[in-house]
Amino acid sequence: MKDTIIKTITKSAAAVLLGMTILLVLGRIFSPKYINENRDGNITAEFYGEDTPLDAVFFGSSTVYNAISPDVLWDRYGFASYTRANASQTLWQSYYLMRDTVRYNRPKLITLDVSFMKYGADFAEEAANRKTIDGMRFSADKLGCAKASMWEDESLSSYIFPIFRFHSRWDELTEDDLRFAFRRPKVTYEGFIMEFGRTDEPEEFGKLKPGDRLFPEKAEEYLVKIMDYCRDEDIPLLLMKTPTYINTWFPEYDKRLEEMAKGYEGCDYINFDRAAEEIGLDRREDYVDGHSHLNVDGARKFSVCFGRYIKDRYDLPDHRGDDRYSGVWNDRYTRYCMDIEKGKAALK
Amino acid sequence: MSFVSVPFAVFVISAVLLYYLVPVRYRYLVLLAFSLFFYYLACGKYIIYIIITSAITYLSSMAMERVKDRSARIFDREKKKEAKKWLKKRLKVIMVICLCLNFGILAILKYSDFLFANINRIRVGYFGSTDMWGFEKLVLPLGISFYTFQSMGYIIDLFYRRYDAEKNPLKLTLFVTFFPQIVQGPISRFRDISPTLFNGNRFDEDNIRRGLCLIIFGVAKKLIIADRLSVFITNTAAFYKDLNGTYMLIMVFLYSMQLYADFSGGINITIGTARLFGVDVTENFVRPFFSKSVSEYWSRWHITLGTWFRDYIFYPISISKKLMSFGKKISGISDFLGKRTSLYTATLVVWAATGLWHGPEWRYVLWGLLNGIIMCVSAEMTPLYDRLNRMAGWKKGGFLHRAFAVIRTFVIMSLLRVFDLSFEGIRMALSIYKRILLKQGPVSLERISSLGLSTQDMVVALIGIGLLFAVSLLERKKSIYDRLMERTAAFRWVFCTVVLTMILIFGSYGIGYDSADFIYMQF
Repeated sequence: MKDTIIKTITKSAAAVLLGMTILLVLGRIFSPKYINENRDGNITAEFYGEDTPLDAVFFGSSTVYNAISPDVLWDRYGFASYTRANASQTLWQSYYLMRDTVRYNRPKLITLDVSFMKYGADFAEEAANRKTIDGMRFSADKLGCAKASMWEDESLSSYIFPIFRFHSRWDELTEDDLRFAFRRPKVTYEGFIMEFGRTDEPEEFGKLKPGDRLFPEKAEEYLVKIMDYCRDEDIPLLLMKTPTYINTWFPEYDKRLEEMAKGYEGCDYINFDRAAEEIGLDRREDYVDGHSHLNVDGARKFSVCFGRYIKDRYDLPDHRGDDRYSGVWNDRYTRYCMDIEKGKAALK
Repeated sequence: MSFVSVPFAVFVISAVLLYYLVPVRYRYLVLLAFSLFFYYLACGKYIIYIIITSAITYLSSMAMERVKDRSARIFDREKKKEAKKWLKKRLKVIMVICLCLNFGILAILKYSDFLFANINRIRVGYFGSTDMWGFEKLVLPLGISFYTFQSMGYIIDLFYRRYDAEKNPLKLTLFVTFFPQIVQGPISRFRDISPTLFNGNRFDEDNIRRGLCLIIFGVAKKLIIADRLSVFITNTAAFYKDLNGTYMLIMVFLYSMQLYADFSGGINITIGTARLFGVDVTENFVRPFFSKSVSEYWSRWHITLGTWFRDYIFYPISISKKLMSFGKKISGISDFLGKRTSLYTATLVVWAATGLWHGPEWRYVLWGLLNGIIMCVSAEMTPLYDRLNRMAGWKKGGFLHRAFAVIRTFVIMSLLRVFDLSFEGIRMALSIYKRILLKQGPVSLERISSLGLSTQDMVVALIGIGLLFAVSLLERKKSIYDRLMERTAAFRWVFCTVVLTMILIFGSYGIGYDSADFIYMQF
């Protein structure tokens, strides 16, 4: 009897293990690789490869990953940072990614772009959800992030086993899907994504209705969670609005955020829209996507200004003379500069 | 909760673990609790209907037992004769009350719309009425046709004293509500299922293996074939007016395959799930597309429904005294008709009822009657067929003869399924037939793709159908499971891994696929 039980348990465990392995391996093969296009899909996962202790991590949406270059910050100020922002990253996704980040690499400063405070429970974009969440390592935070983000047709199981979502790609698999199934080349620049285009005239983009002057309940709820979390972890939090040249931000938003930040020690708010001139941003040269994002030139200008602001205010260390950092980060900066040259040359 | 979903898998795993963890004598209680919970999750407050049906069935069965006990206590020979008559009469009264109540619930919930629609049509057409009779839209509880028929089969069997009534109300409720078979049957007989359902089965590895294999096969049929074809068939039926007869033919044949893959796949999952608990559920399919006649087809397709109608409607009608004497009267006019009166009347009644069972619409009634008529005509034409075979030089029972009969039956049954697809009613069915007969035309892969079946999907579906056919051929002598068990453990593991992988990759599920409910769930 005892033998039968042991045999049955062994067989069941083997079956479960085999099943899990199949699910995970297939998930790796069938998930989109985001290598040649939509590179922002790799931001979340690439973070786990970061092996230097970080001084600052920047959360937010695509406006952040196009605006703050950790490599420029290294070159100018010598602190180590990472951009952990994704396309349409909501407040709840930032919250869970923040928790996930602190578990692996606890920074001295967290900044959060508040552009997505405008979007509440009714905001859900499956493609953006997948890009943000699929790259997270399995944890309660990943599950929490998926649960908070899913729209009605999505299922939690597909975030645990991506094959449930991506099996339909069977007729579009390429060699790359096998080649990069288990190891992907680094395609972002410490979370920064380069944009080389230019926009001359502002577009009618995401224009807000007068009724939108209040933040949605879910966004405020998660902002409070983020502030509570940073306070409990004793990590200073800077709420910020990255500069865009489109009119989708009301003064009421600033007022509300200032009010909320005041209630928390170690929490500040700044709207960099107001400092566009001081930063030196040129609306004809430095923006893409209908002035909603910065291109590489705008990003360099903004990073320089932003870096100075946080370095002074939060006393971030300069590691340029530290061998543990300089070798890695100087190489990263070189790669960054070379790829900008290549990108610009390709445009010509 | 769909049978092919992660929550259902979690539900079943929890039930199996708990089932084998509690002492044997309480195991049926685990099944009952999970069955009621499953039904509650699916239907919410409408669980009340299945509980009412279980209660009526239980109370009636107990009343029948009491009457039988009273009659058994009479030993005087003279009085015994009278008691027998009294007993039969009493049992009949109880049975009729029970049938009226349970079928009444089914009739009100499922057929009242149909009834009132027809009455209103007459009232408006002939009497110029403007007010409409009818109930507010009623919700049809999950599996009502299946559990009502199953319960009534039990009561009728008690009337014929085929076995004793179940005295434990919880066990009887389990018989009515057993969750694997509540969605789409099969319609089990009490005598067949009760021993393994109630007695608490000990853990047996073979049951688990067999159950899992069946579930995997069922899921493969459902997700790789049935759901892949579903969108194309729904769209083709919806746009039938814009399409030529060749598309209609493709739709009709693919629908036959879809329905088979869907229904038999669902039954595989049902039998497999029950098997995990050691419960034996009756098989509902025996390679129906290898049938050589329509009547053989119906003895291989949805077997439990066919045998239910045969045992509880066909036999009682065909041997009823009134119909027999009516047949004799007809014999006075025509011997040919007289001999066939009771047989054919019973056949047509059964098939009209089978049609109605499938749905409260005239198209289903007509579909059922056509099945019955084809069977009657086939029986009469047998000598002619034999003569034609001899003329063609085909040996009766030879390969050519069998192949012709199999293909003919498949074509007839597929064409009859047009009524299933004709959601607008009989006119739509006639229009589809007209297109098939008179409006044949070219077919393009682009158009098929725009109707929901891309070339790649078509290739996968056709390979799936080919494999289904191959498995059916293999199963003529031995089940695929038994064949698998003859192989080494390594082979079995590899085989199951491959099938599971195929399901994961080629299954039609998740976002981007319009995964359909089981078709027979609607009946």
